[in-house]
Amino acid sequence: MLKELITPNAANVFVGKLGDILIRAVGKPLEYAIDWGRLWSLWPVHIETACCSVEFGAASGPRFDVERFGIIEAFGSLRQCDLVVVQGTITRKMAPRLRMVYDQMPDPKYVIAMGACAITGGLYFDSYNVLPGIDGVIPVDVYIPGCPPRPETLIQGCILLQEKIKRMKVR
Amino acid sequence: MNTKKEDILDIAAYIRDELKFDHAESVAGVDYPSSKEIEVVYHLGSYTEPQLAKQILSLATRLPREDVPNPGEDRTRMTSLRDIFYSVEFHERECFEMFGVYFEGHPDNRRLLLPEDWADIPPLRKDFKIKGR
Ligand code: SF4
Repeated sequence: MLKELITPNAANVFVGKLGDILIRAVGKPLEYAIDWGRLWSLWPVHIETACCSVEFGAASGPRFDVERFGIIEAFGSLRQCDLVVVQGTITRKMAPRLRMVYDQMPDPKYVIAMGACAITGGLYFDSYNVLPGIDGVIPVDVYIPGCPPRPETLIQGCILLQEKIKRMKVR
Repeated sequence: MNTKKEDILDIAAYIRDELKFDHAESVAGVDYPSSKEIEVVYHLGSYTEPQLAKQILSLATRLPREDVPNPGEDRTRMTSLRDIFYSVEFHERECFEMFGVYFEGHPDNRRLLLPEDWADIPPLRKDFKIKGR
C-alpha cells in the first residue's frame, strides 16, 4: 500500500504541498515584518511647487510634528527616499521633472497628492500651463483634499498611507 | 498714448529724452480677435524725476493679427524698444511667446517661460483652447 503511494509523481505533489505550507507559514509573518519596517520609515521627497508646502512646514513643526508617525523630515538623496509628497500645482513644464524624480527612486515607492492643485488642478484647472491632476504622470496612492489641507488632514493622509502599506503584498 | 508701429521708435526716444521716463515697467499684450489686431502696451516709469515717480505712461501700438499664428514668420511684428529702454528685454521675450509678437532687432528672441516642447499657438490669445485631462 505504502509502496504504491511513493511514486515519483506523488513525491512531486508532496514536495509542492510542503513548499506551499512553508511559504504560508514563513511568508505571512515575513511580509508583515517587512511591511512594518517600511511603515515606520517613510522618507519623503518634497515637491514644493506652491503654497501647500507651507502647510507641510507647519505639520513638521513642533505643534503638529508628523515625525511622531514615522514620517522623517530630512532626506539625503532621492535614492534613499520612498515617498513623494507633491505639495502644490504641477505645471506642464514641471511634469517631466516630477516623473524624473519618481523614476530615480528605488522600489517600493508611494505617492501622496496633497491639495486640490495636485489632485485636479485646483484653482488653475483652466490654465494653459497647469496639469489637471498629477495622476496622469505618476500613480498616486493617497489623495489629500483641501486648499490647502490642514496639517491634521495631512497627518490623517499619512496614517491612511501607512494603513495601505500594512496591507500591501511584498513582491 | 497710442502710436503707429512705424513711429514707435522715435516716440519712445522722445519720451525717454524729453519727458524723462527712463525705464519700462512692463510690456503687455492685448488680443482683439474681432478687429484682428494685437495691442502691445509699454508701461513706462521714471526713476530720475521725483515728481514723475508716481506717474506711469502707457505707450500702445497695434499690430495686425493672423488667424493662424506662426510666431516669428508672420505679419505680427514690430521694432524692439530694447535699444531705448534696456529693461524691456525679458518682457519682450515673454510677449513673444505669449502672444506671438515678433520684435525685430531683439538680440535674444528665445523661449522664456513655456515648456521646451510647446507646440501650440501662443497661449494668451483668445482662441487658445485648453486641452483638459
Ligand atoms: S491646493 Fe490651494 S494651497 Fe495647495 S497649492 Fe493649490 S492653491 Fe495652493
